[in-house]
Amino acid sequence: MVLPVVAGGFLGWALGANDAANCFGTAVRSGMLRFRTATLLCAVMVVVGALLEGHAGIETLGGLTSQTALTAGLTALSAAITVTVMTLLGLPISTSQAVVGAILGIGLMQRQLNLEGLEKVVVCWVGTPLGALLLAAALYPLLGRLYNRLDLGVYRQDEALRIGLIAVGCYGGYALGANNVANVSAVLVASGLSTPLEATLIGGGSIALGALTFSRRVMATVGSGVVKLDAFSALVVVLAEALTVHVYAWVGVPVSTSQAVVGAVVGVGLVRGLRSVRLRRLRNIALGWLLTPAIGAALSAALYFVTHLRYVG
Amino acid sequence: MKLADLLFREQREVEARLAEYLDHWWSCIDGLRAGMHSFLEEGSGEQVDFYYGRVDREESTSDGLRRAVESRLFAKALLPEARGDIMRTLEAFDVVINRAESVLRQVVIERLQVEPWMLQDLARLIDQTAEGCRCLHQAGCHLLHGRDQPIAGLVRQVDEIESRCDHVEDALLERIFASDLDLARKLQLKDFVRRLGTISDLAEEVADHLHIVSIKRRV
Repeated sequence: MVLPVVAGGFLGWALGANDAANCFGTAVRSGMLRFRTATLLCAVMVVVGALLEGHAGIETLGGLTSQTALTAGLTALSAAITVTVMTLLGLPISTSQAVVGAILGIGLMQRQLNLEGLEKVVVCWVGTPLGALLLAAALYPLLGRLYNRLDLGVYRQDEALRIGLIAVGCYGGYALGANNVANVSAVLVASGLSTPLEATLIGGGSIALGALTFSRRVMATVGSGVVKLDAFSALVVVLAEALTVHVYAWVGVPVSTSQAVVGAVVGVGLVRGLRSVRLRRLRNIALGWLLTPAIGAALSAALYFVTHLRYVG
Repeated sequence: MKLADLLFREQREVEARLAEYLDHWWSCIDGLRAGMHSFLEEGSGEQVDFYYGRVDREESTSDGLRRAVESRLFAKALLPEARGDIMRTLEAFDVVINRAESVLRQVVIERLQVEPWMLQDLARLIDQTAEGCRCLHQAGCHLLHGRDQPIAGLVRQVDEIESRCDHVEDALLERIFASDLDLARKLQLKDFVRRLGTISDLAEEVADHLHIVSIKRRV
């Protein structure tokens, strides 16, 4: 009972610490919001999103394979280790892919896997950066036309952008909770350890805790990375990311907010005709995309194997 | 107090200081115009000293306001790109009034006297310079208060005025060096005319900068 909850909580905490930056990095870095206020807003919105719309993802992930208390713990632990290793390697990570990889690894070892659900998940993984790219490319000229028509002065423009970035940051937090809570909660529900509401509260709470306690450094890094774009582009990027992730919350597949952000940045870059779309960065993301579920699966399978070794005298 | 005033207290403070800065900036230019006309009509003396004192005070006040705005901007009162634009614009504006003050300082310190045949051209030069600065002041106000459209027209006007000022300045310099004045006197007058003529050049640079900022703000 303790291992799955602690491992799940750890995974949620790591997820919150990493992904809060995708919602509020720009706002904090540019000084429009204090770090404490941003993380508090993010934490509240994550819990609200998880409670209101997190159930669909829990059903999808829970349906991939059946879980026991031990396998639930091993899944969460494998995913958490995968996330940590990939972060240390400096590769863009997707917690969702690590979790699904871990579920699959254990499913393979148990020889019980539901591949129908997996197809949907993989299609959504491909669709995340692509969807965010298309959305950002469509939103940029649309919102840009509206923004230009307002003909605001320097101050009012600044205020409009600040309010906009805070609003889309909150929406991003909501979408993060709605979509990613399944990464933590699905195995707890599937193993029968918690009711969906309890699991959602554990998942949402741990993600919120990660955002509150350990997101400062990532927020500063993502913030400075995104601020190289102007504030308007950053607003479009966060909005496109949040919309994409929210859509996948309805579909019921947890996806990566980081990959959605990268897709949106490329979308804005293409519309603006930037020549600075970094191919090396894209290659790393593709590498991370392939490696994360594979490492998650290998690790969970290995842990499952080790925990099921029996001494034969 | 409105909610927006409460939420954006820092920005509103910067906004008020900048508006004040532009008012004092224009007072400097107006003081220069009045001081120069007084000089052309009555020569250097108490009246010019009075205007020099006025311009000096306005310039000091502007400097104080500029520093207050900059320290608030360093404390992240605006978004980074707006912050950089405002700081560079302020510095560019400041160079213009520094030069305006230095023209009157030269008149006062050197107890300058100009030749009678220079008066008409100098009056034209100072009026044109003041008119260019008026257009620049308006463009600055439009940029800060949200009407981008007139900025391009005003920038064009500043550019045209600068060309006219260059013609007047060149004609004056030619006449100075074609005259029978001794070389020291010629060099003193050249320095004065050049100093006065530079104000419209600097105004044109600020106008170009404002134009770029207004274009940059559009998506």
